[in-house]
Amino acid sequence: MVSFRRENTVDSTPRITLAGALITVVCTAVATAAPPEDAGWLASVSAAQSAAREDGRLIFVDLWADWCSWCKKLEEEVFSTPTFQDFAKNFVLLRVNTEDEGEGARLQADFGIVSLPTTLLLDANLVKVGELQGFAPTEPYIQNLELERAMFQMLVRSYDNLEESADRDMLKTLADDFHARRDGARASELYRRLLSTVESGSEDDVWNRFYYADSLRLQGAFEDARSAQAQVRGMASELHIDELIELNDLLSYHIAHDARACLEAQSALEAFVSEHPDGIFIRVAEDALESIGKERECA
Amino acid sequence: MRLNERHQSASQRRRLRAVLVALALISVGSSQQASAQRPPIEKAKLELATDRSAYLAGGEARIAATIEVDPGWHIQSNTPSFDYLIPTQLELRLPSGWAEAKIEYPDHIFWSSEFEEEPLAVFEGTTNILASVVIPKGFDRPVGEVEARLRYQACDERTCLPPTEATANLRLSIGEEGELQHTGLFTVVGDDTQGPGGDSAQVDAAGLLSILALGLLGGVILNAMPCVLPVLSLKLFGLVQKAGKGRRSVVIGGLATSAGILVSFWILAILAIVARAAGGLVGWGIQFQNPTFVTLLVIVVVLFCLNLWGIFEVPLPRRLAQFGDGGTHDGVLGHFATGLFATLMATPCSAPFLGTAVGFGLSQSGGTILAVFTAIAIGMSAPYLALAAAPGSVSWLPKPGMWMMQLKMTMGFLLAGAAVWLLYVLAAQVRPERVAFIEVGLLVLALFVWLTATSSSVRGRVVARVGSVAAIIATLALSGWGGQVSAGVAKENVGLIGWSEFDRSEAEALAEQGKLVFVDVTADWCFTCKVNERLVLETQEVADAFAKHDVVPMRADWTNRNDEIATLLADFGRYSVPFYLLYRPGLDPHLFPELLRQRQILEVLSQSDSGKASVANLRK
Repeated sequence: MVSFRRENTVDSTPRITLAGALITVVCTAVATAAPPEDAGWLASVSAAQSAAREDGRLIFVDLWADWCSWCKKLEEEVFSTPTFQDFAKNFVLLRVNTEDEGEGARLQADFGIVSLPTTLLLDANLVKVGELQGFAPTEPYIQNLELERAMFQMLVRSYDNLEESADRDMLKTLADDFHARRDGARASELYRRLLSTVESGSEDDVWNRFYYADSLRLQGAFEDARSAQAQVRGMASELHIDELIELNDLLSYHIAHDARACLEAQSALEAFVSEHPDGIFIRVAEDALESIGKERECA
Repeated sequence: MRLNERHQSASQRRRLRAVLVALALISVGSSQQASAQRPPIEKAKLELATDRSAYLAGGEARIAATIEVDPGWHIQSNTPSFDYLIPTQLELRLPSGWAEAKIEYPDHIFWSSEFEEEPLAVFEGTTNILASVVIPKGFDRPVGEVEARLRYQACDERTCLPPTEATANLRLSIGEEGELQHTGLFTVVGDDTQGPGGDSAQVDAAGLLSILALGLLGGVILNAMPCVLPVLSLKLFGLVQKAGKGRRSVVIGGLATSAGILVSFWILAILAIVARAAGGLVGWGIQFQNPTFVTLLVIVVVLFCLNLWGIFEVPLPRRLAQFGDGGTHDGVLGHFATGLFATLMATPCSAPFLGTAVGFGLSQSGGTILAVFTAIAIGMSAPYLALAAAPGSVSWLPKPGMWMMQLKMTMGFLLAGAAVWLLYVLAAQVRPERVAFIEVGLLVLALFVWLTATSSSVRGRVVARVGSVAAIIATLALSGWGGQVSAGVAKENVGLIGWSEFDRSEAEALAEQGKLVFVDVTADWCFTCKVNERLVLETQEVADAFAKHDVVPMRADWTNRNDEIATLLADFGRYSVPFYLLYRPGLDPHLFPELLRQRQILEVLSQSDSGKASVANLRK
């Protein structure tokens, strides 16, 4: 993999001088002396997580694919440099192929990554500390990653020092940011606080409450989500917001769904279908019920 | 309860998000943590076109698959630089029983960037993949469905996107053989029908040579154009006068004039290169869109005219005059200046072939622009170069005598005519009262010039000369001050043809609806345009033909700067007026040559009409 570039250099520059030839020879020697490709790089997410837990380092993830020319370039021109190897000592190195239909694909989907190469800095709980898209030469590449890390520290600091009086917009910005980083603990804490700021029973606030309930579900805070959802149900019925009632009922299925309580989810869905025969989300519910019916554990 | 607007939009946003969440979730199985995955981002679009509007069963259909890659992105070529890269591949799904399509991929381009010095074989921008499909003899359905899938993988200068597909569909009409269409797309493979405005991006040496020949010929013909003729006669006249002073002065005079022409064309070429590099739309003769430039030209013409009428002598400093042939006012620099002047006068007269040559040059590299302009300059210098090469030929011209005085006066009147025409150009650019002011300025200038020549005292001459200079400055200031009349001022329709103002989208829409649309792009400073309009377009025959074929006549006025018109010209590979175009339903637009001929218009109109009829038949 390392050799294609070198060969091509020779091919495309016929006017190669003696000095050039010498440099090529030296480079070849250096490249051969460099550690083999997989040295220092882990291939499994769980191995990287336990290594990170051991010494508190962050996980450096290189997401790549076979067809990605810039990934090769990053590997050859950045990862092989002494500067990078120096920088990399502070990280657990993980390399995943996004087309492995396993952990790599999962990581890519979880963080909504589209373009490659993408570099992620994750903590041992797989919370995203930083993300860098595309190729950059070593110096700016490292600088950008350090900047990402510093920004995450800033974010955590503002979370730690949140005042009682912090307004809803501030809380929501932080919450959504931590949610995007898949920091479920901090995000759900913030969504809980947001829920407590909603006092009025206006239509707008009921929608807000629903949003927080749904966000809590996404963090896996199912208990909180369920109680918020129950509140929304009551308020929405009072205000006769049919659409919201329906969505909220569907949410109960999703909560159960996420909890992997298949039977519970199934009964929630069945209840939904019978309660909203003419509802606008009836197709959504029916499709979900059909897909859940196919699963072995439920059948 | 009705929400106020702000709340409504806030809750609507939330609603939207919630619905999206719900929709995203159902597609994911219960075992996996749900997360809305963004769809792959498409960076290339696919469009299909056929070379005919309909086909006979048993015939061969040619299909062009046009790939449009987003700016900043590229996709791998069909034969990528490395094995691991995913080649761009077109697949055509044809009705069952059809033989597989033959697909021809175009040459790739080599792409490199700041971080990738080694060129990669890619496609970017617009790329045409050509395919041919044989329709089986026994195929009896009226339509053959073709489905195209393009598999590609895109990268920009830092990242790559996952491989993806673009699709497009096509319905081949089968029955009678239809008209040729989209010829521009299919010319690459040596089609004999040359579409107008076909890409002239790649040119071989033979093409360049023929363009240079056109430029040369156009340059020669420029001399016979009404605006340049006085300058040429003036020059020949001067050289005839010198015939008595020996061959050497004739040679020097001829060469110096040619040098003047050459240098001025080089300046124009460099200006064009610079303007193009700066991203501007360049054109031939557009300097006449600037009223100050036109005024300057009027002043120069008036001064020359006064000179020809003997009111004053060109006041060249003595040292400059001595640089020439020892005494006469017409030294080497004088000859050189005539060359510059001739070029100046030539710009608005876009001679036959010149529009094509310049237009071609302007769409090419800087070197080609320079070569084309040089060819035109050499062509235009041809009479002078001929004289310089064979100074003896001067003796064939009549001996100096009284006739020269008369010729001088006559040419003066021709130049006065040129001045009138330039003022007419100006009248379309600035307000009428300003034209009057400029004319007064010219009158005052003429008065001072006359005073300078006739004043007996030195002081009087100095005062008159200062007055002349002041008149020039004031006139120029008047021309530039207060801005231009806005473009698109409706001109009165006085002729036989009821022109409407050109609107490109309207013209194209009308052609879609089955109408013929004739477009005349003109400018007041374009003499050839005026001649064509008077002698060819505004005639009973053409007016009748327009009426008979139900042609919509549209006129675009390029007297003043107009980017829309400049873009239209550029799209057809031209950068100059006159420009005549016929939009035809079902066919590519027909581009007429700069020098119009009536018969040609009538022929193209009747051909297009039959095309129209066959399209109409197909629709039935």
